[in-house]
Parts: sequence; C-alpha cells; structure tokens
Amino acid sequence: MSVSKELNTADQGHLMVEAISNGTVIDHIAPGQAINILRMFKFLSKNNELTVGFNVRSGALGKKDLIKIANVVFSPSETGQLSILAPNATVNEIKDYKVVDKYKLRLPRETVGDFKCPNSNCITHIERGATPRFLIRTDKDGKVMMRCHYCEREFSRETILEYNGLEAKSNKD
Amino acid sequence: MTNPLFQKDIISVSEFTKEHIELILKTARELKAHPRNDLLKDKLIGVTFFEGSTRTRLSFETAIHRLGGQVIGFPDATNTSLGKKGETLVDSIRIITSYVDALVIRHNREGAARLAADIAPVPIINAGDGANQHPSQTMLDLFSIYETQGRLDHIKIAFVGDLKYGRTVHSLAEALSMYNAEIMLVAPDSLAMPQYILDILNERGIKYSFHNTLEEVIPEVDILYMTRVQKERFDETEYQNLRSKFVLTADMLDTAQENMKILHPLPRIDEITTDVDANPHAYYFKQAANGVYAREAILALVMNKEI
Repeated sequence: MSVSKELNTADQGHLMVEAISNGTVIDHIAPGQAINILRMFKFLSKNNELTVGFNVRSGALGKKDLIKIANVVFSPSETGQLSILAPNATVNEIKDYKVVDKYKLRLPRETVGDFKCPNSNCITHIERGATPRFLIRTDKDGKVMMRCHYCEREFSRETILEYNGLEAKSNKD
Repeated sequence: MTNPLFQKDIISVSEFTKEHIELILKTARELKAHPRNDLLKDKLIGVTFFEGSTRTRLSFETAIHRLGGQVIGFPDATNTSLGKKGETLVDSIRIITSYVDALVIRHNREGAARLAADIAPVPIINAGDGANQHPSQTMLDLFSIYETQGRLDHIKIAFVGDLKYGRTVHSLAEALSMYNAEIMLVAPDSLAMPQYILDILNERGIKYSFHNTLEEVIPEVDILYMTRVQKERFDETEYQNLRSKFVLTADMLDTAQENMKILHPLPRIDEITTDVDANPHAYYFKQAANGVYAREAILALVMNKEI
C-alpha cells in the first residue's frame, strides 16, 4: 500500500501532506494526544521531517490525530511507551514509500524508565540506581492501572501521565 | 522438601500466599513452644536500620540471637557513610550484603527494600519501608490473632484510629482479606482508610463497614485493632475532639465478647488508657512479645531448606 495514497488526500480537502520515503506514520491517535507523543519522544527537537495532524476527520473515530516522522523506527520499548499514550493507535513503518509493517498498539505489561513515580516518597526519587518501573493492568472497569515496582503504589494511567507533564486521552474518551 | 521461603526475599505481604502465611505461623508456634538455638548457627545477619525503630530492631536482633546467629548493623543512618558522606543506598547494600548471609533493612523511603532485593545476592527482609510494607509486623499481628482466636478464617475485626497513614492496618487488612474477614472501620474522615485498600477489599468480596464510635464496634468484634492518632496532624481543639472519640478506656469493655482481644502495633500514647492494661481483653504487650517468634520464623525459613 502506498502511504501517499492513504494520507495525501488533498482531494477531500482535509489533509495535504508530503509522503515520506522512510520513517513511521502513527495513525488513529486519540484527538489531542499527538502533542504528548511529540513531547515524550522529543520529536520537536529532532531535525527529522515531521508532519502532525490534529483533529483530522476520521470515519471510525469522528476525529483523530496523526504523526508522520521521517527516518524514525520505534523500538519495542518505545512502542510500549507509545501504547500507553495512544492505546489503539496504528503504527505504519515506511520504507521506500511502502508500508513494510503495520500494527495496532496494545498496552504493554510493564514500562521501565519512561515515567516518574507520583509518590514523592518513593525510593526512585533519590536513588539513581532505581529506574522507575510500573506494572500495567486493566481493572474490571477497563481502567488502566500502573503499579510502581518499588513503592507498590498503584496509580491510574491518567495520574501517571499528568504527574509526568502529559495528558491522558484515549479513543474511548 | 525445600520450604517455599528458603532463600527468598521477604518484602511485601502482597506477595504472600496462604501457604506462606500458614507456614510462617506454624513455624512461629513451634519456635514459641520449643525454642531452637541452632537454626542460624554460623550465620551472620545484617540488621541495617537507615531509619530508627528501637522495638523492631531489638525484636529482630533478639530473634537472631535466640536462633544462634550473629548480628552486624546499625540502629540509624546518622553515622553511616550513607548519612554522612552521601553514599547511595545501592552502594551501601552491595557492600553490606557481601559480608552477611541475609539482610534486614528498614528505610524511610517506600521501595527501598525492593531496591535492595533487586541488587543483593542474599535474601532481604523488609523491616519497614516508609509507609509501604512491614511484613514481619503483619505476621506478628496474624500470629497474635491465631494465638487468641485459634483461627484466621472469618475474623471480625475493627480497625480504629489512623487508618490513612497506618501501614500496619493496610497490610493486615490485605492479609485478612485472604481469610474472609469482616472489617469495621472507625476513623475520622481525615484519617480514613485509603481507597486503594478498599478497592482490594472490594475485588476480593470482603465485607466492610464504617462506624463513628468505639462503642458501636466493641460488642461485635473478635479483634479490636487500635492505632495511634498522631497529635501533630491536628490542631488542639480538633485533637481533643478526636481524642474523646477514639480513646479506649476499661469501662468501655463491659460489652465485649469474651474472646475479644485488643491489639495495637505500639507505641501506645494515650489512645488506650493504662487502666485497660490489666483487663483480660488487653493483648498488645503479648502481641509485641509475639513479634520475636514471628521474626524467628521468617529468619529460620529463609535461612534453612528444612526445619
């Protein structure tokens, strides 16, 4: 499948972007969440070609955000981080203008070194040897909960993201 | 057969299964009835209290000596390299655990014991990490409940006082939730049981209820678990008001069932008046004495394949 065909839909009047030859397209991001992904992965401080769409019209969701970044491929751990910020988003890996890999994000079971613990008395705040680590589960109401490996406090995903200067938004919101 | 706690870290009650709890209690009972001075023979145990706690430290050290082991350590971090020279906890733990066969650690930060366990080549026993866990306290509480009631199942227990900051209450409630306890909560709104503990009780289908006075719960329960309401958390008028509501006096115990026992993690300040001490329902000093047996059991199981 050609990315230019999927994303250069200028004829529909709601999105006009250049196709990238190599890199990643993150699609179906919950509206408003793209900015957090840019922050978390520091995309704005890289020199890579970058296209971001906010509140783009989408059949399935009504609205969505999307990000295209050239010459970036997500590692499995980065994909894990991304999936906490943007559950249900789709990642397209592009090579020579072709989608060579496409997958839907799923919540990881654990995240290491990505978020600080909101408990101010947690050992991770004073010991450089203690990398913050959270076990992730979905509770019976479908809420994403993250439990600190060290202090054992469990926080909602929203609390963790808020504490880390990010904002939680899911496609269900 | 190797016991399931052999060479294991003892960090959190949330990791205990019923099998672990019952093994520790059975061992504690045996060691209380038949003392053994050989279970830590030739073993050197580190007792490192980065935060001071006289009772817990002496209880652990007594347990080690009674089992025939030897102790090195410190009662607080003030005069350690960590306190004085800024050495990291990780470095301190690496060095100390290269000397000893097991390490007992207390620290004011939540997660310190887990961090130690992650890097140490020997078993780590958590003697309290901030407001998080204090598993040997929970075991001595459970041991005291078993000693006084002859069972752990279907215990009706009231937790009274500071249920917000009291980690002993959190861990004990979590442990008793494995045994179909019925829990009554008596606390001022500002010191109520945290929601995350209530969530655990809800998930496990444990019945709990909220009450305003001690008089309401005393006739109902098998165990009255008192805690200290810390004066410094309130202004004087508010404290005096709370004090009158959450102080246990001997004359309040007339309505108690015969088997009811009063527990308290100690230190007791003025939430239990001294006239209760001689009452047959009072058990808190025996509970503290049970701490040594519970800690002996934990150390013996961690250091011996079979007992």
